[in-house]
Amino acid sequence: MSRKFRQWVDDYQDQAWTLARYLLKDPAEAEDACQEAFVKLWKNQDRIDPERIRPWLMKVTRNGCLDRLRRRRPTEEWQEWQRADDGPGPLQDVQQHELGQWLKHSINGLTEPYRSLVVLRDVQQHSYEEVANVLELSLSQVKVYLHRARKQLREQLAEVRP
Amino acid sequence: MTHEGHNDRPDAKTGEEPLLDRQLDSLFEQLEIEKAPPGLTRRLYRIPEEQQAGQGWWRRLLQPAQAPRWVLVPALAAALLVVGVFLTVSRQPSQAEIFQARQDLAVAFSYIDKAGALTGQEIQSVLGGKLRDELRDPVKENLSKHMPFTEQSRKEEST
Amino acid sequence: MKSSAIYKWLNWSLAVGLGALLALPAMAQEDALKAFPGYVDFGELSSIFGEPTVQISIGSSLLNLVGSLSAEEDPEAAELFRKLNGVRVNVFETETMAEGAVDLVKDISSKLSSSGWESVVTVNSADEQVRVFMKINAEMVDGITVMAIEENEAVFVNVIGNINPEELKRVMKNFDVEIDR
Repeated sequence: MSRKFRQWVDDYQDQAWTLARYLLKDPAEAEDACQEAFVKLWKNQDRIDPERIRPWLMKVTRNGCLDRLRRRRPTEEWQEWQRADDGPGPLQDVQQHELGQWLKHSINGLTEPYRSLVVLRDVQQHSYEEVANVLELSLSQVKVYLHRARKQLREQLAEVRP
Repeated sequence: MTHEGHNDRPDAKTGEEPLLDRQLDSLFEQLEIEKAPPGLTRRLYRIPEEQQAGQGWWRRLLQPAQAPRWVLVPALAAALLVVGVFLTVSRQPSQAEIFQARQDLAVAFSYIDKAGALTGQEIQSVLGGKLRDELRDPVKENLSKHMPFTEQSRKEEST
Repeated sequence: MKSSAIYKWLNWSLAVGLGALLALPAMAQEDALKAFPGYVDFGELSSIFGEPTVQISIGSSLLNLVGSLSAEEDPEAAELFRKLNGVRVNVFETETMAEGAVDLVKDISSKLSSSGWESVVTVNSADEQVRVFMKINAEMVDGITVMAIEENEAVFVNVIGNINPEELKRVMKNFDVEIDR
């Protein structure tokens, strides 16, 4: 059982970490969130379909991160934070190689669930079905929301690209 | 539902969208999945050992607070009473509701009309007199040509 | 089952049951409309588009009353409304022609086509997708369905009842109400 769990750690820790980092930003909190998620995986491993470990883990990681964010801030501030105003803002003369970093900041500037959507689908390349499972959305909803998120990013990119 | 402004989108926006999309895709490819820090990996590897060591020692002490049984029965009875009254009293729409319904119908009709569902004379005659007959494809094509909001009718209007 | 679990179950059941019962009238009307051949199940529109900007659902009793109010000046309208079973409209604001919206219209269109609805209008362009279907039954129309997706709006209309399209067209034209939108 430990060997199987270790394999899961090897296979999925990077994705869980990346997602947690995007959501929480703080590395220490992201580590704690990841550990919590994997502890839950350990405790529930017998109940999870082995084919669905990855989306299950991503869902638990995301939910854990969102819980942490809510605890970090009272409700009203949480809603404000969800607006995520630490987006990149207009930048002048952004060079091509900086656009990658800019995109990271832009993704952080998206509200939920758009941010998770973009991270899971566009950064981590999960399938639409997996993304729908993780975020507990319908497939159509995933497509519509992703479309909106990319539209936002596109509009921001149009303003800053060289 | 409006049909204004379809040709009024700024050219730059219309033409650039696919280009921006491609650029966005290329930027996404540059974003890698971050490697988990070694400290985290070590913590995760230790989970089975820590969890197995803790098993059997921890148990849930706090029971969920439950309403005593004597509260539940009257609560259930009250609910049933509310439902019974609600269902047996026949509810007549008020004047305001009727007025609102007229407004709502006007809105519904405006959307139907805009979609051109019932404005073609041809569709009236076909459906009025020949509803039993199958609508054959050529007939459908003929109908659709004379319906507003189809490509063909727009082309005809613009020439 | 432990007694604590039973109490928990009872509490939960009570809450759910009460909620369901209080929602009965709206559900009952919608359920009643489902029985008619002209009814169309659009699926979970709100889960795709969010909250509607316009949501209308008028049942036969209100339609009857609306008709009876205009019986003197417009007996044709009164007769038409008497025969209608329901009018449902859902309008959503959309930011763009989202892929999921177009897929949904195609799904519903395909289901309608395979269950006896006739396609009357089809518009497929980058700017808009429009579908109009009619459920034709001998000499009358059991239902009319309009679905339209544009850049900033998605519209779903379902008229249910014994509809004479000519009558409906005339009544629509004469239906003189100041729309407050």
